[in-house]
Amino acid sequence: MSTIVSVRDLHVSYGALEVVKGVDLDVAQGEKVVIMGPSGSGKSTFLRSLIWLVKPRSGRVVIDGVEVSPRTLMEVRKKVGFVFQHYNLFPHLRVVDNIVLPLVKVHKLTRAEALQRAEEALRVVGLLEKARSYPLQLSGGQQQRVAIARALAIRPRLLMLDEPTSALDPELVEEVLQVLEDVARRGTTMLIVTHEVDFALDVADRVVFFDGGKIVEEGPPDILYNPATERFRQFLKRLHKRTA
Amino acid sequence: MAIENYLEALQYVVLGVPTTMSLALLSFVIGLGLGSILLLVRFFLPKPLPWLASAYVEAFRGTPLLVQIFIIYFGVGGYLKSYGVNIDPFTAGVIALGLNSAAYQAEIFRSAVQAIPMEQYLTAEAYAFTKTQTFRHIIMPQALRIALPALMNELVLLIKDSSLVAVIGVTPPDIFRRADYYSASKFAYFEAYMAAATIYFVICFAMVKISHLIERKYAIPGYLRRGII
Repeated sequence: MSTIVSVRDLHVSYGALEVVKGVDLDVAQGEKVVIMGPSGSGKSTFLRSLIWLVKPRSGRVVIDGVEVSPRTLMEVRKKVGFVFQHYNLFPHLRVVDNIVLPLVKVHKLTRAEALQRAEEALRVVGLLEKARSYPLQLSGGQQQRVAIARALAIRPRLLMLDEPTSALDPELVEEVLQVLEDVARRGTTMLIVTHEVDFALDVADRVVFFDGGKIVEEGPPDILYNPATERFRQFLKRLHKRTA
Repeated sequence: MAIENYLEALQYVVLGVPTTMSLALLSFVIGLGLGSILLLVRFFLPKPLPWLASAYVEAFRGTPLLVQIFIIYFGVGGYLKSYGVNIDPFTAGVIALGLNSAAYQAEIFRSAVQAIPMEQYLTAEAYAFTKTQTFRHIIMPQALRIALPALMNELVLLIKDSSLVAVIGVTPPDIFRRADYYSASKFAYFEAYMAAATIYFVICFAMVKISHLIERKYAIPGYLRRGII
């Protein structure tokens, strides 16, 4: 299996504050990697820095065989689908046009091709009947499903999700996780920041624990039952307490 | 107040509406064009050009419109006259109002663009939109909707401020200048200026109503807004 993501010694700073302090990570094609960690541990920044939404201070990122650099940045971004915590749909566009816009403007598909892809993607997330609605007419869960459809429609080599359920009301979390499980079964390579332990157990091939800007522990999902480090153990304990 | 004088004044003063509306609409369009250019300079071009754009805005916001009209008509117009170029009061008025409005419209656009959440830019970046595409397809459509009430308000202000051009003797006379004529010939000051006020009010009130209709037509569906009358 080929490697889709390869990160070497990545450092990211906000001014004088170093947030990501030397991270190495490889993700194989089709692999689902779940990233966990306390808030402020640098996991979201790490995800964003891979496609330079936050520019790394140093380090090397290769995505699908292309090293990220100013010259290749746009090429790399076209290979990646990104789902944000707050969905970030374009509120002035109908659901279908949220999906069509990047396909037509960035990926240079014809409108007919783009519409067909949008339809496919909306079918995957079960929202085909909302194609003509506007984002703000939908529930949070539905908006996030549209955001997932928007990411899928570009047929990404890598799908990154930054806490996709953290902004949702508890009763809406399940529908989004269900969609993500379906997406995971389709073989897309996924890098997911989440605190959903059950989801990680069902879907992840590997779990990575971030703390203090570094990967402190990583391994198969079993480590969620039996973490090796005290910090991960404490983190999971707090998580259980909150969700119990 | 002699009601017949007032009614007569109304009929006389209303003939100034075409001049007033031409002044306001032409200067609004100039302001729209130049204001958009100022915005693009601030948004896209390297320093020090954005600073120059800001200096323009501050210069026109920080001085009275009447002074600007005099500078354009008597000052610039006076120089041009020595080169054999004549600007008539109407043209000078449109230029002064237009340049002034550009400063305010540039500010309206700037605040509208800045009201768009950072996440929209971030998302556009993540999906490999160029800066121009982001502006054209994601930022502008939302910013224009935010700017719409303030833009319509600017048009209403221009309609009222166009009365200042009367003092440089605009021809054909606008609403205010015709009220002046009427009051001087009939010694009916109150009736004449009340007639002018009435006509300005009717136009501006209609503009406000039209503005609400446009806002409603272009409102983003599902966007919750507080019901303010």
